[in-house]
Amino acid sequence: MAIYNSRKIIRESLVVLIGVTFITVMSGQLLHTRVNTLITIPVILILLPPFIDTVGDLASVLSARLTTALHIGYLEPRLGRYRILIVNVVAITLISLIVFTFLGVVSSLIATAIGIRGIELVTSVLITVTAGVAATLVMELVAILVAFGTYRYGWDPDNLASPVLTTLGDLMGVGCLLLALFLIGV
Amino acid sequence: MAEPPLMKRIVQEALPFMLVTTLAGVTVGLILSGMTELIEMLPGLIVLVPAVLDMRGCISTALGSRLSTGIHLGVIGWHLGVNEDLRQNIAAALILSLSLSLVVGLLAHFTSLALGLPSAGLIALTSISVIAGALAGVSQIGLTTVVALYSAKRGLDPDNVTIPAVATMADVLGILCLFLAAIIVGRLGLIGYL
Repeated sequence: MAIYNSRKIIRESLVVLIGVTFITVMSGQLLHTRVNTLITIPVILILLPPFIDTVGDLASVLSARLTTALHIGYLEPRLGRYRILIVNVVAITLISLIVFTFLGVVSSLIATAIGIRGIELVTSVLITVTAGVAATLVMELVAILVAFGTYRYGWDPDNLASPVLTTLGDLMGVGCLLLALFLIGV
Repeated sequence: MAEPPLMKRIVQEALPFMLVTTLAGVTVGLILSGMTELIEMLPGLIVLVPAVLDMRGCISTALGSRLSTGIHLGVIGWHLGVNEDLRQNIAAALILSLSLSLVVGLLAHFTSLALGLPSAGLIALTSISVIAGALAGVSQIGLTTVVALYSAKRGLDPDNVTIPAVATMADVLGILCLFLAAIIVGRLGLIGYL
């Protein structure tokens, strides 16, 4: 007798997945509005996938760490017991600073190496760092809400946190990246 | 009570992994940057990009976690072959891949229209999405299954080692399948219908 049933798996995942689909299509439409910039400066296409991935990954790491801390009892959802929360948030922000600097450097160098139209190294780093850290800060707040929310209501964070955070991370990542490009005037 | 993790430890644990996935992501980006002509030729193709990249996170990773649980429970395993539990898991992942690809294609076309943005057409975007979803679904599901079962057979915990690695490879597969699907639909001249 099998313990897995495809109908049950589909029924349980479908609602979250359809929600996720709506949000990713919206992230895609944000890109669609600026498609001419993407085509004329293809280096943005090089850094886009790792950029949005990193935003979601950092949020997932933070949420997973906080969820574990809550369940073990290192962190309690009340005032005055937030030291672990702050340490984690600062650590993730620090990581984002390093990773987005790395991404700005790598993508600019690759664009030069393969001879496509790139962005000058300093500008490239400025874009990935400002957009990346801004998106990460917003997603840290969402990750905290997800961790505390799932803990408070007893939902399984394994099922909910990853799809919600990676999808919102995509949307926030695309939004912040396009905003930074616009503000810096690329 | 053990000393709670310090900032330095968190950074040391998470940073190397993040740098490696960033490099893998750049590979995906390089493939994407080779698609500029197709993106220009097929308006709305860019809308499918985040969806194709995100789908693996939601379907393959979920499959990987379930297989891992099944392996730990002893109902799924290399030595058990393709049994009913494995079949049900694979069927669910395949059906979800295909049906959500269809939804993505429909949504991409109609939201483009609603926002006043150009679209290569309902037929073009839906067929690209479904072809890419089918190719990526089959290859990613196959890869996830083989790697999860084989790593467990070799005594590795699929939760820790293999599933993160598979997720990264799945992104590369996903974007390649989208590329291929766009070329097929472009060659068939399916642009501009409906």
